[in-house]
Amino acid sequence: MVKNSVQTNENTVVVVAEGAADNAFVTFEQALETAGFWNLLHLKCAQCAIAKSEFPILIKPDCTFFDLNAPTATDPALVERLVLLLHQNGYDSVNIGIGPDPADYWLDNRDPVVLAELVGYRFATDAGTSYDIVSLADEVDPAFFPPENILHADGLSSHWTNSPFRINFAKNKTNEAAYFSLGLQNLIGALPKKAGYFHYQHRLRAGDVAVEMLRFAGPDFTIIDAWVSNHGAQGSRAAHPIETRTFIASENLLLADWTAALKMGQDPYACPATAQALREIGLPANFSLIGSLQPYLGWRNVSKSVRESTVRRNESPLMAKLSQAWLQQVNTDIFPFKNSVDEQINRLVAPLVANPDAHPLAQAALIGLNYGLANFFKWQESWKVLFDKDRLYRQTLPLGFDPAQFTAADFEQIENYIVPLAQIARHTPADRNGLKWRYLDDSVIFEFSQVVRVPYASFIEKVDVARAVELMYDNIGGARQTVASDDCGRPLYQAERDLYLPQPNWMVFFGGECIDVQKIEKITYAADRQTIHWRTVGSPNKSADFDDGMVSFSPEGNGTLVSIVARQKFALPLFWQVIDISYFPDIKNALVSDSYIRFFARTMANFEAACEGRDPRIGKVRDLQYGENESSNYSLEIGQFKDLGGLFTGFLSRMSNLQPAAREGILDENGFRHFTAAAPDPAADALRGFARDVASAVKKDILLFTSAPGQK
Amino acid sequence: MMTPVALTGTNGFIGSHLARALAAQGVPVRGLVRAGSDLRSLEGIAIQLVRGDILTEASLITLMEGCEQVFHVAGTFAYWGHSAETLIGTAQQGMQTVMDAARKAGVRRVIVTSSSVTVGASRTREPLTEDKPGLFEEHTPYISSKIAQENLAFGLGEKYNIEVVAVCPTLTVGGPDFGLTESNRMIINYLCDPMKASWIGGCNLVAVADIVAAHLLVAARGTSGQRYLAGADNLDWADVHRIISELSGVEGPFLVANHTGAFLAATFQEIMGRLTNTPPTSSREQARMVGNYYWYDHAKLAALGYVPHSTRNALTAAVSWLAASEHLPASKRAELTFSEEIYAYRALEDVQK
Repeated sequence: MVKNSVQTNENTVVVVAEGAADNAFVTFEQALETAGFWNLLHLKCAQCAIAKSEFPILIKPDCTFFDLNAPTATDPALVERLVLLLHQNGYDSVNIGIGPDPADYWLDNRDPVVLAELVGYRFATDAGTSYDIVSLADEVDPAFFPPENILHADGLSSHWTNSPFRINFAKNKTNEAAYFSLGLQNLIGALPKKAGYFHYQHRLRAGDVAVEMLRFAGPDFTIIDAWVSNHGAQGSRAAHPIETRTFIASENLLLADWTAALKMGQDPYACPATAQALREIGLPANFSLIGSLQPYLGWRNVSKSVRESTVRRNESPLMAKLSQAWLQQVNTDIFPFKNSVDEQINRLVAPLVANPDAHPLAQAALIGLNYGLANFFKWQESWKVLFDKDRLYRQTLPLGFDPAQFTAADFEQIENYIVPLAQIARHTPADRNGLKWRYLDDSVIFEFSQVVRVPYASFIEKVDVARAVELMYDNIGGARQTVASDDCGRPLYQAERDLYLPQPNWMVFFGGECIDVQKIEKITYAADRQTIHWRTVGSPNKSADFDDGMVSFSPEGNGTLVSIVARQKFALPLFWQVIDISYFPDIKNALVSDSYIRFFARTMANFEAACEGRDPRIGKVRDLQYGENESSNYSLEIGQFKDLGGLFTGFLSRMSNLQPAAREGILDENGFRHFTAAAPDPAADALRGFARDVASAVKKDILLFTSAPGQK
Repeated sequence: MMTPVALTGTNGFIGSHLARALAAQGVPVRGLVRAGSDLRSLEGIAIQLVRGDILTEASLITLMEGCEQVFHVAGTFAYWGHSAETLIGTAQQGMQTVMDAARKAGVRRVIVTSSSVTVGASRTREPLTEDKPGLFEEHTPYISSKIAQENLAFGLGEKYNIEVVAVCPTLTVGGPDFGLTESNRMIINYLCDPMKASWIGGCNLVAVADIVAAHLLVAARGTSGQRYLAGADNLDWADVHRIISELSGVEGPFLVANHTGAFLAATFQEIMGRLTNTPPTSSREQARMVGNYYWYDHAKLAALGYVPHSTRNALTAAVSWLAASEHLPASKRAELTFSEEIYAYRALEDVQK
């Protein structure tokens, strides 16, 4: 059931209800009433023409529990209170949906039903009426999202999609990677993959996921439980409760989150996913705020330094999942560790960084640890960008703009814009590398042509000119959408988003980011020439001011002439903004020419490779089933990491115990001493073997070096 | 009608090329393949497939029934991921089962695909021959398995009164090679290596087409109980890598590793391979062979009419196929600028198609 948020009236209400210490339920009920919850529910039920008693309602609470009564999760007593209220109003068909739990990889008792029971859900209200708890990882509808949607491969639980009224019951808390975690994060938790951090932060971008969930499967009502909140720099990693005695309620999730962030004294746009959703979907045109935006007394937000170091650390999926297991404070009486290595590391490290606000040293240690892990990953990624691109992951991105905003005239104009620029390049003499290029308004215009030794007919059969931009070297992801086609079904106008590795690649060592460009394109097909023209219309990460151009294919002797004309200007990392090499034009020109010649020579090789029948695009596709079953590479990676740790600790313990213990033996009554044979030690044997082989290799090298020249 | 010939290791690198050549000559070919095998290498070949494996006598008897000749090509060529016991045991058991089945099926001649390493290696540049073997100091499990297989084959041949001849190919390169054998992997590893490292010592590298020709020659004219080295040019490793660079338009080699460097690098590669669950680009087993000259003289086979292509030609064919294959990562393919020889080879291939 695809739907947007229900709009019942033109004026959307968000309520900030605050109450005294002993009347949480009263304040809660006031919040619902004032926010128009019951009116909305009755209206929706009537629209669906379903009897109240059978009208399915799903409540999704935040279940981030690592201890009983944890302030990091929605209070089960409040959730049951809501169920009771619904029952009292005649809505008997109420389920509580709990999302898949990534902690299930490293802790016991994380199955949704078991977890719910342990933390206080009783499956019945105070009045004795019952409700069910369902897992949102189950009964996944694989075809819920349309094929062009980035979530198409993920699907969504039918418990969620088949509920005509969904209540998002989030918790009010800080988050060390996103400043705060509110309704939007709780909504993403409704997606079915257990390794959520991997699928909805790495494989896909959290902001894109949030926007698509809101557009296609948003909640009908959002409540934020801020009665007892969790604040502080550690986010959900440890319990730091604060009595904020507030409930925030609205039919509009973004409005509720926006209000909750302001109550924290935080910029609602500080969290990137929320910011993207606010920018792309926005708040209701008209809304009323009922209550006070006075920030909570004594509230502590996540500092920028902690947040940025956490984000850097979490750029590595491996570090993200290991740090979750190792830094989270856990009540192991109810959630025992599955693995003793995790438990030992957690016991050692988690208390040290549980409260970074308490001591500057704790905060410095946390930031240092985060950056240490992050830099290890960053260097690994930088190495891949330079030397091992095929081990990078391709990025799945949405187009990110609506091509319908451009008219046919806009598409036609692209050619008129680029062709005059092509003339500049064409009339420019080639440099020592054979590249024709000029500066224009700080951008570079260049032309590169080469004959690919494949006959034209065969070339255009194997290389689709509409894919020419996607086939350029260092393309690591994107999206393409046909806007208009000819009678043969070939694209005439299309919209495209492309992600390229930093250019030149070594910029990655200076903080250079991927080049992310949105384009509109016009394609022409003549008997002896096919051309694609494109013009940049946006760059989500502001990495490009210009990336316009054209690629044409035409016959040339027995081969195909491929000609590329482009105008480019990419943003420089801060380092190269400070060290302005335009003061050294010879160096700059050499670098520019070398970079472009390398880029386009390799692009030509890509076209040639496409003719060979292979996919020339770099990068691996992320595993859609990652973390979903025992055989997946999730456990493999962890196992390898722990194997290495085991080897290392074993090596250290042997090093510290090199002196063999005296073998006293046991003296029997006959005066014979009995010894126990030494146990085999494969690791020690391996070390000895290694030392022997190295010594043998060194000996051979010495012999080689000292032998007469004729014998070498 | 011609008598069919039987073939083990049919969908493997040498096996598939041999099957294609036999079929092209109009010889009825019966090939053994394991259930679930990748059969891409056999596409377009007129061949009768028999499902089974070389450790199951019944399937081998079905394969050999009515055949005069059997090409026993199946074998494991690996320097990583197989224990010595497995490699040697499988080679011996396989050979035993093949010979037992051949006796029961009334086969006249068995042609065994062995390896030039059964003749040993040398510390000098003097090529080795079948009658003048070299050193056997650096016994890897693979070498041991091939020696054990060869000895067993000749012994059983005498015992069962079956003619046995062995072809001992040097490093065989070319394509298609969907399973990527170690010799072709060497080319891929070099093209992927950012250091473009070579190492001391030398090898003999030959085209798969020549190894197929060697098998056919030995089958027709080889003397029972004899082994025949089949190779091409003897080159330093640095020269092999230089030729690959010239053909592919990449610079290198930039450095030549000695014994110690090669061993430490291989150790590091094995650790990384273990961590990333991928085969290492070089193993310690291979590193122990560094510095040796695997140089061979194929005069004995030449006397039967064997005329191999040059190693440069062999590498041209190999690079041409490997560059277009899934074995070479996309980003590495993009770094290649082919030499005229590759284009000329491809044009010739197109004409022959």
